[in-house]
Amino acid sequence: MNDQTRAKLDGMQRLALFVGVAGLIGLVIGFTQNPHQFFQSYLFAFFIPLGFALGSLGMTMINYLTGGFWGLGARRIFQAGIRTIPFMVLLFLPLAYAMLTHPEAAAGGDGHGAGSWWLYPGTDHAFAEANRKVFSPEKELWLSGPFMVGRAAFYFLSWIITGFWILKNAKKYDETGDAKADGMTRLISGPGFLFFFLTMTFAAFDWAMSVQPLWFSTMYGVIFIVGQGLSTLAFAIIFLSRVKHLEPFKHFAKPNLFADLATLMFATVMLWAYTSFSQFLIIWSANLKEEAPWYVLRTSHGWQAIAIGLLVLHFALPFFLLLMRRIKKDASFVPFVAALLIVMRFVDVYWQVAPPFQPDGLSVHWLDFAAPVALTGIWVWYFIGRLKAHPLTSPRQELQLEAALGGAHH
Amino acid sequence: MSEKALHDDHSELIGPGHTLGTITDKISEIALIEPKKTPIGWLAVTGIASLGVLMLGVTVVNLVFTGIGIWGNNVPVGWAFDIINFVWWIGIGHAGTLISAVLMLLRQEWRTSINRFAEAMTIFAVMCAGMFPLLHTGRPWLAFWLMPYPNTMGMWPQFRSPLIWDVFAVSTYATVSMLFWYMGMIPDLATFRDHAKNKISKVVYGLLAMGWRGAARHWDRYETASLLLAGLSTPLVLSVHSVVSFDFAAGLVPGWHTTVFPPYFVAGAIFAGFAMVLTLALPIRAFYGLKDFITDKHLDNMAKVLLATGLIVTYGYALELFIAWYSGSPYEAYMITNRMSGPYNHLYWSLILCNCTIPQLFWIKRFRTNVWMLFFVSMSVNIGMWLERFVIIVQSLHRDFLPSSWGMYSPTIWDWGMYIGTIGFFLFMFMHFIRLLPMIAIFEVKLLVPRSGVTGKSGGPSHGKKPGSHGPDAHTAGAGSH
Repeated sequence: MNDQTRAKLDGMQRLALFVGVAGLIGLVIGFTQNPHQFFQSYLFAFFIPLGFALGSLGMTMINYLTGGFWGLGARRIFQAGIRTIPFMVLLFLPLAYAMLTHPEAAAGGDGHGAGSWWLYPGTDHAFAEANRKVFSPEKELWLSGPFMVGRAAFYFLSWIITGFWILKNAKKYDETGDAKADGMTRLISGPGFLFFFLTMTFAAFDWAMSVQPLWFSTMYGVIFIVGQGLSTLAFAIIFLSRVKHLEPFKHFAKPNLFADLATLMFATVMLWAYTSFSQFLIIWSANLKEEAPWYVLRTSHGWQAIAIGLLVLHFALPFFLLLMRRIKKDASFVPFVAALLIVMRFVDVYWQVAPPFQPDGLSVHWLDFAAPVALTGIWVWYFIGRLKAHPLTSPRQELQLEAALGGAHH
Repeated sequence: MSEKALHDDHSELIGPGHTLGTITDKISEIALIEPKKTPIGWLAVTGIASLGVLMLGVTVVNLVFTGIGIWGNNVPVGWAFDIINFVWWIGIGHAGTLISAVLMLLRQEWRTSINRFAEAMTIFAVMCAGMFPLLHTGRPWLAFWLMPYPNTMGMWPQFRSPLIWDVFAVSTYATVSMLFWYMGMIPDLATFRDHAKNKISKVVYGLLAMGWRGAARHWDRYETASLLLAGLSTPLVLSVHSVVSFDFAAGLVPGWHTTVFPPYFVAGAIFAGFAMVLTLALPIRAFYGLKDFITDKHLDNMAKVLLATGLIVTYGYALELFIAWYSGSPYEAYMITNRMSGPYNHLYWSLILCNCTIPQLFWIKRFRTNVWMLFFVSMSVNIGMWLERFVIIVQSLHRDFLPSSWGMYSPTIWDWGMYIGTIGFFLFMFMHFIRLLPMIAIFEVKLLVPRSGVTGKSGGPSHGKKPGSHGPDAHTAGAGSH
């Protein structure tokens, strides 16, 4: 890494820290004023940095399994993303706190947002009792605070082990050219991806779906994971566009890398629309009282505006923009599409998890802005730190990139 | 990615020692051989398949004259073999488009030697699939009522019904697949025309080749058209089986109504499709000595796809179980219990064995290249995916909303006759395809040659260019030997 690159990364990191700390101050103030709102805003904001970190793990494994220049070009970014997973444990602590503790039941349990729980009604015995017909004691145990936190620990541990095991072998291969280490990265990635997909599905059920513990959908985990992949690709595109003129990125962050990443992002946008719409269509046409209320809540009381916004800005607009090859290759325009998609990722997650907390209709609190700013800022700060802590390139990687650029790309 | 993979010269995708000329000769001689020299093996298999076609004919005639009462369908099991086999065949029909469109867009070069017959397989499978719902209407001569057109009866199809979406999805799929398949064959048909020895072949292949001369302009248009068709086909891979899954998921029947159905059906379709590609490719490869074109690398990759899609299907099964418990719905819970311990439970456990357990053998590399093992696993998947549809359809229906109308289903001889008949029809069509048409894309395989270090007569100007890069010059060179 030369001085210019270091200076740029330092500058970006400082900015991220500044933004993140400003957001954090807001969060602290918010917590003292309105702790319920703090947790609700924190919850949805948490999922996007989580998506960056775990999406990096998923994308790395997919790339090891299928190959492709896109993963080689974005490899260091994904690797630094994997290195932030332990940091996500730290950011998870407030959620663990919310799972384990209950505020004074002063607000009363009206079946909506303000029960004696912070975020997860399923952790509340009174809620379980009131819904006993569909809420078995076993399910109550499954959604109880300690069990939820225990599972979370298990998920994080499995992601950290998988991620760092891959990183260890990738590093060994970069340094020594040991073919066995290279083989190991792929060997881990097969079962690793499988295991990641399963654990992430259950994490999505636990952390996001269970804000409405009576609702269920087998598609939920898939939609969630696709969203993570989308966030990661969008983030990688934006980040690369900021450093594309610097050593060593300038050697490979060329229009075709942006085109490849944008093509993947395009496919992921479609996958997101496909899975989200399928879930909607199936639930809408069956119109069962167990499932339909989830959408009724999200398509009324002001939330319909967000639903339509998602349709237009999370799908239609990026779809038509990314359909054009000229835009996909345009390293100065495609980051804007990526930025739009990251914003829409927040909106989507907000639309998924926040409505049950606002039974009287959509009302956006200032903490809903402070929380994503804080968590994303602080995550980016940590991410750049991890990126700087390791070589941005290695002779072996340069060789690979050269081969990919010279031989196979057009 | 390893350096080896990056510098891959595709020598794993084509056997050693081939020149552009030998490829043309090897592939075209299978179809251009004199009628009298048709191999006995081909005649034997086609003969057996013809018996299946006869059986299909007899069954259909009886069905149309007598009515669908000859089937075992009843109340509450109103959908049975007809829909099971429809879904089964449609699923098999998925590998073709996936291989030709999606893998083309993903620039996976290993698709080249298997895409053509996977596409053919797709088309024949869709034909078989289409017969079932058409005949299930009982009055197939009125099938055009499924199309929305202004009519004197003032009658329109129910646009909210996924069954109608199926009509559009499947017919679009059949049309685009057919176009893709035929268009892809044009350059090779021209090769056949030029290599054909007798007059009739020359004329027929000449007509089919539509005046193809291999000019740069032809290749340019060909490339544009294939990219467009690939782009069109890609969403179709997802849409057809998603719509098929809506047939079930949009309803209320426990066991049908679950949100993960669309992607899980698509994965299941690819799973079944690749299994059938392997089932067909292995004997053909052995019989015609095509090991140089369908190499161990191809088999290995197909096995990996089977393993991956098998795991997605298993994920679907696992989620169904978990959510049935998590939902707290007694009906969902009963459906699962009934699956595992009800009257059809042996079928459920067999499907788990066939679809989830046996494919795990492919974690081991040695099994992915062992033809017997591949054949065993692919047959097991063919069976398993059929059982899956049986379990989803029949098992879910036979215990429906009114316990007083619970019943059992068992197929009649006519159900079996039609099912086996379509297998015969499928084989019959497929055997004719390999006998008469280029079953491996000659010009696409040729593109692998220059990079495998073997120089053909017309040289290898596509050096440094990816075979999938579709430059017109590369194709002209590849086609230069005819």
